[in-house]
Amino acid sequence: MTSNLRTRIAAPDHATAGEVIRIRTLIGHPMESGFRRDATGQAIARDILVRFECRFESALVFAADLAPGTAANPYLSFHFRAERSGTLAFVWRDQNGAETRDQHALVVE
Amino acid sequence: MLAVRPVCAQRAALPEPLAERYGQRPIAFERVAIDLPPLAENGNSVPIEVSVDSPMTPTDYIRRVDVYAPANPVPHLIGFELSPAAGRAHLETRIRLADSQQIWVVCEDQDGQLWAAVADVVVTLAACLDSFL
Repeated sequence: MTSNLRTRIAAPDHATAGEVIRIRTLIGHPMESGFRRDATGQAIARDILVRFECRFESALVFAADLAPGTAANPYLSFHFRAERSGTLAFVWRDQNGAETRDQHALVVE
Repeated sequence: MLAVRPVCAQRAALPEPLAERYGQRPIAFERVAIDLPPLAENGNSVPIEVSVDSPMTPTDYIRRVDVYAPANPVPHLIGFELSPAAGRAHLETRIRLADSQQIWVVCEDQDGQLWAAVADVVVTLAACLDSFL
């Protein structure tokens, strides 16, 4: 199952070998907590992303378990030690298993 | 006079959700730094930065970072999983806070040793207010 949420990746395209780079990711999602009520008093159902993963050439670099206490449009900033050129792959999974993917090519000189 | 709060006092006051998860495992209040605004105007989105003093090598790295707000309806706000390839244990995100409270960050190294820090935050407008009416 896939979904196409709006994502943004901010990371350098080039790095020197051994350099630690900063990666910032953003995804458009309401992260509806399940604790709110609408105007008629009806509880609004929970609708959240539960997992984020960043892999470099299939090896896990960083992951996050998201919860109702994670703010809407989840923003994550983390680091990666660039040793060789390759692709960083990002995936966000919601509570129903639907996935949104993005990627970023990194050239190491 | 300012009283210096000893580490054991914080340990004794381990809030319920953390006591449940970590039990009697020793927690050292070292190596972890939390950067959080002391006053958050809107609890719906509060920026938080966590940095852990770690070389992030295959033999000495932080593998897990968990953020808790004990006064929230779901106290576990977010958990991070790191590998040595991360290079640096420095994380940023945005959290929701239902009330003014103490934010706990608990980190686990490659051997399962726990490291933690606590930060106070005052929230003027709480998130998910409806659940408290």
